[in-house]
Parts: sequence; C-alpha cells; structure tokens
Amino acid sequence: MTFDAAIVEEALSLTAIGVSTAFALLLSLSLGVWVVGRLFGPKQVSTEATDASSAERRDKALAAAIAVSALREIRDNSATLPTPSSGD
Amino acid sequence: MAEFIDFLESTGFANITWQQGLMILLGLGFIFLAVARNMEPYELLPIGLGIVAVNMPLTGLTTLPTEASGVQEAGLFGITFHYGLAFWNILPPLMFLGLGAGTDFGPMIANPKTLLLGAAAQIGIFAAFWGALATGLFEIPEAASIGIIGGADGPTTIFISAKLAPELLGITAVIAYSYVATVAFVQPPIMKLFTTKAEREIEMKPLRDVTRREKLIIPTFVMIVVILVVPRSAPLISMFMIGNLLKESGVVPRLVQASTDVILYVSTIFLMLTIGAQLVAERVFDLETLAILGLGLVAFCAGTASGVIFAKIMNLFLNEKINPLIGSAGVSAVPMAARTSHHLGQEANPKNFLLYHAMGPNAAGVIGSAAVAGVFLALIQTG
Repeated sequence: MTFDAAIVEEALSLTAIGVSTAFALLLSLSLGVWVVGRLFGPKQVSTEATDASSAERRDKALAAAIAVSALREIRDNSATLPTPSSGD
Repeated sequence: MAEFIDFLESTGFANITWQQGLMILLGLGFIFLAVARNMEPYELLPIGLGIVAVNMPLTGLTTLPTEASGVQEAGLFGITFHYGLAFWNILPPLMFLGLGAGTDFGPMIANPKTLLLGAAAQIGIFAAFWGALATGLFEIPEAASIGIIGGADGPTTIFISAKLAPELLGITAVIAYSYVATVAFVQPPIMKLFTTKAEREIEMKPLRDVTRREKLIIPTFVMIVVILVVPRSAPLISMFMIGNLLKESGVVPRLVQASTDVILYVSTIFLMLTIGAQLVAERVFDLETLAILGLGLVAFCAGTASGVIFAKIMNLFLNEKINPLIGSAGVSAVPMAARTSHHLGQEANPKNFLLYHAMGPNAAGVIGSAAVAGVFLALIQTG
C-alpha cells in the first residue's frame, strides 16, 4: 500500500474540505432553522400564564358546580308547585 | 446446409459465454429477491431485468451513441445511459423531485440540532474514499464514486458515479442500493457496539408542533444556503427542495401527485433498468468489483458508527439528552435507517418512540451527502 504524494495531498484536501463543508453547512442550517423556529414557530405559552389559566379554569368549574347545586336545590323545593302546561 | 450452420452460429446460444450465463443467473436472483422476498422491489426488479436483457449475447443494447453515427447505431440502454445519466444526468435529479415531494422536514425543523448528525454520518464517505485509494486499484475520481456509497443515497451515488467514474456506475449503484436494502441487518450490531444499554434506553420528549410557515420557509432557506456554499450540488438540492415546496404549499396537489407518482416511478424504471444494463459480465467479474463491495460495507459501517459516536459527544453538552441510536439515521437510507433506530430503541425500552426523532438526521443526511457530492464535483478533475 503505497501512496503517491500528489494523490495524498489531493485526497487530504478533499477530505478536509468535504468534512468541514458538511459540518459548517449543517451547523449553519441548524442555527438558521432554530432562528426561523423562534420567529415563525408556534407561540410559546409561559408557565405562569398556563398556571394562571388553569387556576381560572378551576374557579370557573367550581362556580359552575355551585350554580348547578343551587338550581337543583331550588327545583327540589319547587317540586310541589304545578309544572307549566304544555298546552293540552 | 451452410446457411443453416451460419444461422445457428448467429444465434445467442452459439455465442453466449459462461460469464454472461452467470450474469443472467445473477439477474434472475435479483428478480427472485424482489418478487419472492419483497426486498427493495422498486430497485432490484428493474435492475435484475436490465441485467438479464443486456447479458444476452449480440443484442447491442448497451452500444453508446457516437459522433459518427449519432444515435442510429446506438442500443436502447446506450441511449438511456448517455442521455439519462452520463451526458445530461437528468434521471437522479428527477428522482430527487419526487423524493422531496414525499419528505417531511417537520422533525428536522422541530429539533434542528439533529442536523449535525447528518454531517457526522458523512464520515463514512471519507473512510471508504481512503480505503479505495489504499487498495491501489482506484484513482481519486473512482475513489470518490465508491466513497459516496457511504451516503446511503442511491440517486446521489448514481449522480456522482455518472459524472466522475461512469465505468463504475452500475457496480456502485447496485452496491449502494443493496446496502440500503440491508440497513436493518448491517447497522444494529454497530449501533449496539458503540452504545450502552442505558444510552439506548434514553427516552426523548415528543417534538413540538411545526407551523405551515416554517415548513414553507425552511426548504427555501436550505436550498439557497446549500447552493450558495456548494453550487455543484444544485441539481440534486434544488429539485429536492422544489419537490418539498410543491408539497408544503398545499396549492398544487396534482403537481405533488405527479412528482411522487408519475415522475418518480418513470425515472425509477429508466434509472434502474439502465443501471442493470451497466452490469455486463466483463465489468462484474473483476477484482475491482469485490473491492467495491467490501468498501461499500466499510462506508456504511463507518457512517453508522460516526453518527452514533457524534450523538454521544453531543450528549456531553446537552441538558436534554438525545438517544444516540438516532445518530445512525444520518446515513440517509430514508426511511429504513430511521426505522432501524426506532426498533433498536424499542428493544431497549418499550416506551421509546424514536421514529419521528430519527427522521431529522435522516433528512439531514440527504442534504449532507448532496453537499459532499457537490464538493467532489467541484474539486475533482476528471479525464
């Protein structure tokens, strides 16, 4: 296995340029894709906002449950009253 | 009687050589693998049919067009080789159009750091390139054509071989597609060798959603950057990204259908038949062919190992670790390499779902090998 010096020189430069081009290119694409993602990707929802909205949802659910219970109570109390006629 | 003997001597039976007989058997073997074993049927079936057709004696199917006689005296496969590959080299870019229209860049956009794994896996190209030079059998253009097998990308291998070493085209293309077909067997032992069980068990979080705007901007951006850096990769990269933009635009479904169906499959038929037609007996029964077979394996193994090792190196700097198994998908071989990463990941940890994560390096591998091909074309002088 003997190499001609000129061939080795050319092969070395091809390898150096090829490997470094592949890495530099894909690294720059990676950064570019990341930047595009930050600019045009889905909007990030902050953790605080998520916590706030979940607390708000919990309050609304509690309020709804109280309202339903209150309505049931009223309906049970008025069960003895005549129901509205359907017309017949 | 003399006319009858002349007739008998003019038949294929009287002129067939044992090498041609063996090649016909090889072609039948490819057909069998494609039909009975469903192994890469879109490639191996037309290649096998091409091998059988051109190894029949006295057909002249591979006679190339010449300046003196033009195409009148040329054989059918000589014409498709000349115009489809060697002279115009139009078939691989047409295939890239169809492949681009079928590719989803979503995983790559959602996790852009995996693009680097596509670069790392290109090391295999240079391992085989040096291996080819070390044998003393090949010059630099031929070594580059052999090395590019490590990119595990059939059309890129064909594109480079047709330009730099047309005499090796059939062999390099068949070996590239053969190794792509056997990724599921070739890669796992190397992936296991370079990873611990704990590393293979690493779970990766589901990727974020990708917006339509990102999917429209990224292919355009990648096309511009890659072509500005490596202009000679333009035929492959531009067609790949044009195909992808047709798909992501969402407004030309018929063009997408034409690209992924008609154009892709028509090019596949002519490309693979032409490749099969390059496998004539006198080229195949040769020490160089065996050497290329071995070097192709070296390229695949080195590409797989370097992708996995690079993923491990990245993990030294990342808070959120990546599963090193996805590194091997950087060798392209879309989507077989990604599937192999996924299966090995699930074998180590059934909760692992790596397929989508591995598609990022897989797509990056296509870009990486096209870029290296562009470097070879730009710097290597032929003839």
